[in-house]
Amino acid sequence: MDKFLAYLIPGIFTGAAYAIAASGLVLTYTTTRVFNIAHGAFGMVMAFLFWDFSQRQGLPVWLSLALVLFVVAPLIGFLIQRFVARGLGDSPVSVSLVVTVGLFVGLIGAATAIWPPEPRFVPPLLADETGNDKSFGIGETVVTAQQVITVLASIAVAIALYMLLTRTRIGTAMRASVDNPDLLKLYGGKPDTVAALSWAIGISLAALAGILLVPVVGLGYYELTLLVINAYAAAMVGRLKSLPLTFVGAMGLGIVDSMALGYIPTESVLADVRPVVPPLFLFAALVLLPQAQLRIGQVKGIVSAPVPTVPRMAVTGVVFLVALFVVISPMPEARLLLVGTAATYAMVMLSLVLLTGYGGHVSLAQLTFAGVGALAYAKLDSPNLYGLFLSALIAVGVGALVALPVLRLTGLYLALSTLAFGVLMDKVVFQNERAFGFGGALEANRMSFFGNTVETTQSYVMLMGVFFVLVAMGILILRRGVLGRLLVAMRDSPAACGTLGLDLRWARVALFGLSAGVAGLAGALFAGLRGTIGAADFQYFNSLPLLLLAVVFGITSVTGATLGGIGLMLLPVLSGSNPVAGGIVFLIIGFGAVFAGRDPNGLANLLFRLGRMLRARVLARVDLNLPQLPTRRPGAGAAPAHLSGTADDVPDGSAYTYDDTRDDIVPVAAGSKESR
Amino acid sequence: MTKLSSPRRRAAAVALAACLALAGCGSQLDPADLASTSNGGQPVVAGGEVLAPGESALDLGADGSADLGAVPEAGGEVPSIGGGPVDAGGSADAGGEDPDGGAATDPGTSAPESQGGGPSAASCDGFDNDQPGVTPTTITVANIADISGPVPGIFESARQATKAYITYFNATQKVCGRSIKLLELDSRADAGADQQAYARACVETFAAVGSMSAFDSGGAATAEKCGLPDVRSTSVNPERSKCKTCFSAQSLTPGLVPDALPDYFSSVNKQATQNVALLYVNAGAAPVNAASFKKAWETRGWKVNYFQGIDVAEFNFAPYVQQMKDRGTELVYYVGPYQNTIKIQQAMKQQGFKPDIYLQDSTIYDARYVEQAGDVGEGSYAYSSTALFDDMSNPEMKLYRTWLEQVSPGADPNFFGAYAWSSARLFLETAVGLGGDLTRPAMVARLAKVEDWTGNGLHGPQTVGPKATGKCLKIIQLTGGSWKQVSKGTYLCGDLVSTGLGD
Repeated sequence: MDKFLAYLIPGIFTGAAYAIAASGLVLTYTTTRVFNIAHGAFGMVMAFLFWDFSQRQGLPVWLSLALVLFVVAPLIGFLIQRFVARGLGDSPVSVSLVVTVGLFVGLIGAATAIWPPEPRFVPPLLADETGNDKSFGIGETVVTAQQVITVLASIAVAIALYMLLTRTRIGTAMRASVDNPDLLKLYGGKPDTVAALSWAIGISLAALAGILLVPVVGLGYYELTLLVINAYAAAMVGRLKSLPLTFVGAMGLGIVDSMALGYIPTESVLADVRPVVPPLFLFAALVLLPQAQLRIGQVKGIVSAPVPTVPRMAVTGVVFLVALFVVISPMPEARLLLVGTAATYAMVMLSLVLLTGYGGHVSLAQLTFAGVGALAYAKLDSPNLYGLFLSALIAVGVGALVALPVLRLTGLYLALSTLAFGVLMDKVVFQNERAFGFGGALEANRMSFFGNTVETTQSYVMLMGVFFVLVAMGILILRRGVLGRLLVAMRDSPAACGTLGLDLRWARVALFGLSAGVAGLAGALFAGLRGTIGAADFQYFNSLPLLLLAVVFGITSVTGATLGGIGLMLLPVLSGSNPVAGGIVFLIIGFGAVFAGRDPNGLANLLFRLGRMLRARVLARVDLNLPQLPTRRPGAGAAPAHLSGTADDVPDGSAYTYDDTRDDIVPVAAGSKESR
Repeated sequence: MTKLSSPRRRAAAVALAACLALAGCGSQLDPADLASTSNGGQPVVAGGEVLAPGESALDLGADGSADLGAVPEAGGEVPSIGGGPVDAGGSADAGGEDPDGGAATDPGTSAPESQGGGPSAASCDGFDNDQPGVTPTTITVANIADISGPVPGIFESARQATKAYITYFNATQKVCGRSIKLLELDSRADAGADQQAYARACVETFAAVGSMSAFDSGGAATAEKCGLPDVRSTSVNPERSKCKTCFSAQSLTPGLVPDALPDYFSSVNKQATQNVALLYVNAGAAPVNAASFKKAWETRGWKVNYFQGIDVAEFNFAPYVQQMKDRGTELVYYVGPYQNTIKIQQAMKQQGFKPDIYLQDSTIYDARYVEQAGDVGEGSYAYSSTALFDDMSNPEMKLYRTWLEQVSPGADPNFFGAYAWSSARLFLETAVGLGGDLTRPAMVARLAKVEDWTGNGLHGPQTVGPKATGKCLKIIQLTGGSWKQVSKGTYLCGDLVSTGLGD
């Protein structure tokens, strides 16, 4: 019994911390339909602030706590709702996720810039003068005051939220806001105020979780930020709407995690499972979710970036390769490696163009698929076209396998299942000595064609450029064909496609597989470029900035993927020059994404518009100097609005959505709610 | 990358120049003054000229490299520590006694002539200027360390120590009339960045010195391919150890474990060694090191009853402590960062678990650990192959700390810093010894023959050339907030146990 208690008590403590974090997550999602990926990052920043107040400035602990929990955190929550989250719930899931990933990156940058790296220590709330916590025994188990406070705080939070939502007018309004904010408005309610309050409470709960955990976890930029990913599992048990179930899920997760350590023998095969209990829990919770209902009567579509004709893309591809050759010719090896890295990222982003830009599904594990390709390439030890394509094929299989168990899921839940997969792969496969070996690195040779190895880095980068162009052309040709129209139709209206008898589920498995294959191909080429690759090259959380930059630069176009790849390569290079300056770079990109990420066509769209503008002006001047030719038919410039239209069809190329009550197209911000 | 970062470096250079001009960096003494102090009060003479008071020897270049301590003239008398000729290392009194009273080993005595007797500067005839990083007045070397990344500044101590030694060297000596410039590159705790940095070092520098990266596998093949001599602080990954042009002042082979450590604790507390918990962080080279330790120690009679990897993001250590309590663990050893050590020790204290021995490698022999661990760290054992950082009776330690304070005021010495200092000394003494024969292949060939390198007594003997793990170490314990040596003699030296893991 003593042993059982000894594992139960730490488990309850862990569960309580998860419960507080998950409650805030659920509250903001239920009222605004925005899943805040940055919830942990908010907790981290608030913990830093608490340290600043209580340690650096020497304010009393209670005052610091009150300032953070009741003044700063609610204020930030309010501001985030007003200036960032408002209207985001109605956007496609790729947009709302990317905006919060932008916050995630921006907050890490802000913390780095404000509090430069140095050792910091936050003592427990009831610590004595030497920093030690008070403790007492239960049987042979010692319980600390911080653990007791955490458990009591989680219970208090659960009761307070229950009372708020069920016994107060504002709570009733919150629940009404979940169901139909427009109706609430008609009855005199204020959905925006309700949402702002939810965000204020949500960020305060993130702060509370951060402050309670920081003496145990330590004050760093990443530990607290990533820890909250475990709380996602608890939130999923509550299906992102039930606070009691969320609480149960959090406690269950904490206790199972602790018991697994206590009762699974270290020599057992199952011992490998123990570190991945939280992601397994998340995956299981997602798989067991009920079938998502298709929303009918609401159609959502975004106008994609221009899709060039085949001859035009061929010409552009050749020009791109010539330009690449000219640019890299004088480059030293170090820069060539950077260009090769950018090409890898760009190709992985191409896989996102297919999956997210055209298919409308978000993956938070695309770098993991690249890792699968790289690992397969190194393990196969066939550095030739056969080995390359076999590696990509293996990634296709893994991608399809990921999509199979979550056939019924879409949107956010599908995205989170990919995140769980990424964590599982990282901890179970990539870090296993059977994958990358002891020391975590495998040798990978450069490719050869008919016995001739591509020895020089310059040639290899050119080869990567050729593959990039070929893959890009393949994706664009696919987009122009029947399959492309089918993908876009599925993205825009799953209900309509279902009505027409299309089997969306298997199409999605194929799409995931194909997308993973492209990422795997990129990973295999990357392995050849580097010569040695390891688990650290494909860490799951790096898929978040990858998605972020893909969307910011344009996830619907090859141009966006190209620019995004360059941007992602430059990000650590710039931040490496100075930690504070690096923090500012993260800050700018993160918060820039918050505002730029709303347009899936991204910054590439600006280039397209500029191109069209210049073309129009140049052509107009050319026209003036040419003899008058027969005019085009009237109205040819006003493109017909159809569901799978491209930016070529609509003059400004921005995001649009259909509303079944109207005949025209309207901007996506005014569109309908996102279905699961 | 250069273009992007050079404006910042220029700005930093301007700021530093302004700082020096205004004496704004109060605690920084002039390197020349410092050199004279370090040399028994004699004025530093380089090329027959004394550095003028206030003359700065720290000249940051606008191209990202730092000309550390340019001295007016070369070719004069070489100054020495304590007024004598430069003792080029290897001559330290590193001998010690094992706990059984066995014969003391004096590692320094077997040093090759190039270190043992000090490098009598070889003739500079035929010096080849047509080499990467070499000009008629300078030799540029690179330092590639994890400065930014997930744990910012993790190996900044290696950078600081390298810079300190080169500043000291430039203030006292030259290599065939050439001063040393340092190109600082950041490997960002990323194998890809490490590779990029080495690709740059291959072209722009003669060698890499004092480098330290957690993911050092990235640039190993790149360095070997271009023949770049790489004298590191410590090699981490097997790929780096396999690199033919790469060496480290702290020589390490994961599959070779010194028996001095298990034998010491077997002799002082046999009972504790029969119930050992070996924990390790599940990242990087820690798992292979832990597996190798387990095998070696069991060969030496220890019994490891609890062998457990801990996820890098773990925060709840109470269940692990409970496991150790359940098994009646008496000796705990952890392989991982000191930040996690503190969390484990806090959990142990909270759970009322106090093993007879808490032991770790030199990772916890760090001022930051002592400060942050507070009383939970009291009584912890560690082992180290360096002299104690506050042992000012060791001239080389004194020299390291003095110049470290000069170059990076307020910086704490640590294990990786000490070996980075030593690696810089090894490289430059070898360069001086080669004189006009200095080429990359000659440097590599000379380094490959170095055995029993002690860094002028800064650390125990290291078999740099053969890259075998050092056999000598000392046991230290944290008592009263400071580390004290508890093993007898200067170092305990034994044999190596081959485990065959990680090779």
